[in-house]
Amino acid sequence: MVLNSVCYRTFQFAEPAKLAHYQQLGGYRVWQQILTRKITAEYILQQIQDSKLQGRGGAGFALELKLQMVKNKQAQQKYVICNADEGEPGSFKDRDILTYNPHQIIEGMAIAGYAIGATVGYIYIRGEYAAQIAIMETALQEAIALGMLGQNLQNSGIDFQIYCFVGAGAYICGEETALIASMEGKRGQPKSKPPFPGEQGLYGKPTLLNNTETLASIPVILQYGGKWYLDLGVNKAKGCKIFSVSGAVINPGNYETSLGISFLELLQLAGGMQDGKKLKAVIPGGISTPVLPQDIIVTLNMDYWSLAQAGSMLGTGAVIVIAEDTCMVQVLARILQFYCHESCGQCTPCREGLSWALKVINNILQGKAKKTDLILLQDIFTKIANSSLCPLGDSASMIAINYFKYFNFDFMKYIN
Amino acid sequence: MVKVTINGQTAVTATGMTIVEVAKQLGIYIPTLCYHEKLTKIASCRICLVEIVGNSRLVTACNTLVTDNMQIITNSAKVLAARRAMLELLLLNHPLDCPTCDKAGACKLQDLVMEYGNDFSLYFEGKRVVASNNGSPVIAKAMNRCIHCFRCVRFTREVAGSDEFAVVNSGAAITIMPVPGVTNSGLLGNVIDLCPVGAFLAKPGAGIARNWEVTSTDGISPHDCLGSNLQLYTANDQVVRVAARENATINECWLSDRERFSYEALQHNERISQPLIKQQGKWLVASWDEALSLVNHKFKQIVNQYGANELGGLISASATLEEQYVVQKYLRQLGTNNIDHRLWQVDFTGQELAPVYPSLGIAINELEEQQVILIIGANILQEQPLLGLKLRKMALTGSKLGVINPIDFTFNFPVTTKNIVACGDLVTPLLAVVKILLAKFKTKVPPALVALIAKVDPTAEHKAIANMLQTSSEKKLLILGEFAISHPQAFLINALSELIAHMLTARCGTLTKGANTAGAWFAGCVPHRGPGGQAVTTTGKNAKEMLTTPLKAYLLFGCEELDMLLAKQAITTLQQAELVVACSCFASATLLDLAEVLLPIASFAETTGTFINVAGTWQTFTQAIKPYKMSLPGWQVITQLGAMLAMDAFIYPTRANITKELTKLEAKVNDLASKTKPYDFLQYSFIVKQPSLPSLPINKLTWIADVPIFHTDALLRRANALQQLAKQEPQVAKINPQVAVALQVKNYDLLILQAENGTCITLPVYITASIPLGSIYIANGIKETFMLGCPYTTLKITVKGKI
Repeated sequence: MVLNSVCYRTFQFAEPAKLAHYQQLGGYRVWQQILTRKITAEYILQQIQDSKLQGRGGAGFALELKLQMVKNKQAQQKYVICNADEGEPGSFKDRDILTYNPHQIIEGMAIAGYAIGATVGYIYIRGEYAAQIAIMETALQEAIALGMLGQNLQNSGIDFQIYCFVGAGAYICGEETALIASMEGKRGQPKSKPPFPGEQGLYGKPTLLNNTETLASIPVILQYGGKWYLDLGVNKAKGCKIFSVSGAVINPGNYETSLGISFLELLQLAGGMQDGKKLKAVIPGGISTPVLPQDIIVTLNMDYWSLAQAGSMLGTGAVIVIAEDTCMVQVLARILQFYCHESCGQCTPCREGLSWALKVINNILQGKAKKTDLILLQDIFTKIANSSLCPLGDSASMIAINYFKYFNFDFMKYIN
Repeated sequence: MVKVTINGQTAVTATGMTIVEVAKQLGIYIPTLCYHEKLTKIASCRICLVEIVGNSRLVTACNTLVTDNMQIITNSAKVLAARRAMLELLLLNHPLDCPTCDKAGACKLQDLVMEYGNDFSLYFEGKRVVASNNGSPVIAKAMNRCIHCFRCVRFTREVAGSDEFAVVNSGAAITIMPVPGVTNSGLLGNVIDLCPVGAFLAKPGAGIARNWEVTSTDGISPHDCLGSNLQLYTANDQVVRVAARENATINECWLSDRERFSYEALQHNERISQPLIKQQGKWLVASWDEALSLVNHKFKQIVNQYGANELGGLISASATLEEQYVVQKYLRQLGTNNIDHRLWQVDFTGQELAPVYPSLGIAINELEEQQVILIIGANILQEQPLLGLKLRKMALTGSKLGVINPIDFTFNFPVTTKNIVACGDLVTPLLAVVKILLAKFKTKVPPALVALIAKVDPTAEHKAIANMLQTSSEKKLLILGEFAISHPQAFLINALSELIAHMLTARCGTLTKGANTAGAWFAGCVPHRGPGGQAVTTTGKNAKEMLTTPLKAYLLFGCEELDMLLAKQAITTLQQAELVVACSCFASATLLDLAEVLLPIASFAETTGTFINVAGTWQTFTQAIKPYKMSLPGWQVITQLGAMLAMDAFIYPTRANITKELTKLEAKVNDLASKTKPYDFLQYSFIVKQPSLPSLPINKLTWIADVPIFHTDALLRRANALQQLAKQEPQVAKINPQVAVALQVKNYDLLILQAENGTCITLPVYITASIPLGSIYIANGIKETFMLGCPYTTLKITVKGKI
């Protein structure tokens, strides 16, 4: 089991965001090698393939395939976008990368950009991360001063420039097509896919859009090799992952550790349960992943496969630990409230269905509901499921199922 | 090619087609709400979900492209359940106020719920309530009914390019709102046709008739030279609604507000209900027989006493082809050739060489295929909003659009290069372009032109236009608009444009006024030609001559004083006539004063007839309602007059008999058209008065004017809702900021404007950089300004309160 050795590797310093510290750890060495033509795009892709790095933003799509897709598209201009619009409730891992290791994001974007043939990158930072925006801007200036960003870098003929783009705080703008729409000055709402951003992304050009953690992992993978990264995982899992542990634990926070460690080990890292309370449930990857009850989660390892087997997902790795005294109906109601607030309102099931579901669950909470309302609530989710335009509506209905499945007794308390 | 199976039916189709399109080919119905073939596919309503075999998730048929061997099922239990679910969700916040909604009976949501929906609801919570900004005089909004298909937003953004609507808020609170401060595109009424529910309805005619009580008749717009296709909805012998009728080659499925709401005038209180005769200054009601024999008697009397040359006929360019034909036939048999419809023209030079009828030179749907277009003297969005859509489509595909205009008008499409001329001088840029082109093409030109060209010094702007025109492409077009038609140098402008077109093998077309200018030329409503372009023995007086030198008697057909460019002078001239007979729908105060006999004729909805549009297409329409009270179709009135005098070949039992006679002339026209090479215009000598920039301080400016869109004919001037729309923009005199500085005025200060004819009017000033130096823009053809006389003359400016 490793701790803070990839995206958080600058944590060992008192001033982690300093450029000198990053360079001390070997930062910008890979990019420098690219600029001196010592590393080819093929080599980069090979290393990424070896690392088996999956997108860390929630969907877990293999990075290598995405890179290949954009690389193979012919276009005059391509873009790299770093999705730092960290909006998933429970997730706060990217904030710490932005705060403490901004240069690694820059280098990761530059390497990815070089691999696919892009010359411009954007970091889409959510507006609430005001401090991080300032840090990022400083880091970009430092990188330019160092000769790591700009036109015809060190006479290599390689161009790469990165700009910060500040979002306005909409959750849905974390969805790739909505993010791109918002960058184009349009209303931030998702579009049907295909075409995927890799085919027609920003301004209709092929675009590599990845999570901050994914892009920030790239320099380390190339520095130590894909195989090295692969071996960071334990219990058959590959690589390394940041877990944002929150809820009823003693030391909530970000833990970058091996993929595949058991949930109990992770709980241990976070200092165990608060006030000696009993564990009731865990949302393993942010609120868009199905909740798992105590008896299931304690047997699981924290990796893509194990969680999927148990009917949930690793998501962004935002582990929300719920203690015995929490009412799961209230949890679901709060989650629904969030989804209703953040629904873009574009498609019918999400716009109408979610607000209906919220009204019904509020009735349940207020003790005004009958048993039929519980059936109605589940029925509404069935109607939303698999019919909405983007994953927001779908995941809202998908996660709800587990609340009824495992915590029916909580609901029954409210039913007369 | 791909092979696709839908519900077991197989189709082999081209790649890139959506499931909905393939299903349509196979005759399989897939319900849709947000989908519209002219708009982007956003798949937001989710009604069109269908199943693809092997795919666990349902897909939206409207935007999913078919792939080879795709098997689609549109009627499985899963699909039907999803459809039902979507409808149930859409109805949650829909007010279900169908009993008071004008859309009921023609509502897509209602139809779908009828077909798939439940007759009960599980929803017992409160419904969403949305405030509707109901300030528009033409659109009644009920945003509670909105189902968020975003068709209106997409239309204004994508098609009209006007951004009149925006989406605000998110989630269940999402609302579509008008954007404040956006100028009316004149196309907003299309959202009424687009809205699948009753969120947008027509305000005029609201609540009069239910959709199942109305009868629909095909109509043709009586205002625009495109001949937009209308659907007239009538109930109890009244037009209650007008919608667009799809015609792929003309208006596609759009309609401008002018066409959509002008029907309101049909019930205006100025409509004449029966024939009227003036006796000792008093109007008396007469029977048709009395009135018609009186007219014939009086005309005969004038002809006998003073000669037929003292009789003149002015005919509306928006009358039907048949009406125009019988009117000129009647007048010619009375012995006069003083016949004209060109009430908006002052320069009639070279009319002998004009083609049989003016046209755009190409079919309307070919416009969007053009690669280079030069617009000369046209405010497209005011003249023909629908044509603007075509030009927008064209410009957005990367084609080039140049403009030579007396005012820097705003367009809803990008312009490649423009030349805004001072003092309305449209001639100089054309001469400059000719000069540049002559250096290359060595075309032989008459000496008079060589002398003119020598005086011109091409500027960078002129060169840019010449460069744009020389782009190597096959499809180039020059369009002359209203400012070119009513220009005092209209002939020269036309001739030079034709010359440019000739050198570049481009085409040159005119955007004519009225619905049927082409028809009027063809029918023979011109002083120098008979029907079908046939020669006449002596050329009669043209409109300008008739309206400046008084004749003894006039026949006005479908026109009133404001229809004439020389309105002020026309009133004085007509007052001096012994007899004015007016065939009209309306009796304006001036007409009541001028005329001796008023014959009520049927309006466009009440009669049947033909319009020839600007592309030369004949469109015949039928009668939607009975003529107003005692009025008769115009062609009947005139044929009865002719028949009463036992005139030659004047027995027409039906309108179709007249049309038949006209169609026979058509074959001859084609010959004549090929004989008349417009380029021969240049054999004429011409005089050019080149206006020069007056030096500051300025107190004399050239009056540049066009007629605002809602004032172009008698119907529009009386359409209530459109007039309210027009009033939203107050009448102002627009001047250049530099002129304003020289005059020391600020916005809405009052200016006293003195015309060359001595008339003075006072108007507030509005300062805008769109007006070039040396020019002042004041709308013409309206009550407040027509007395200024003729545009392109000089106005003397005094600031009120300053000497």
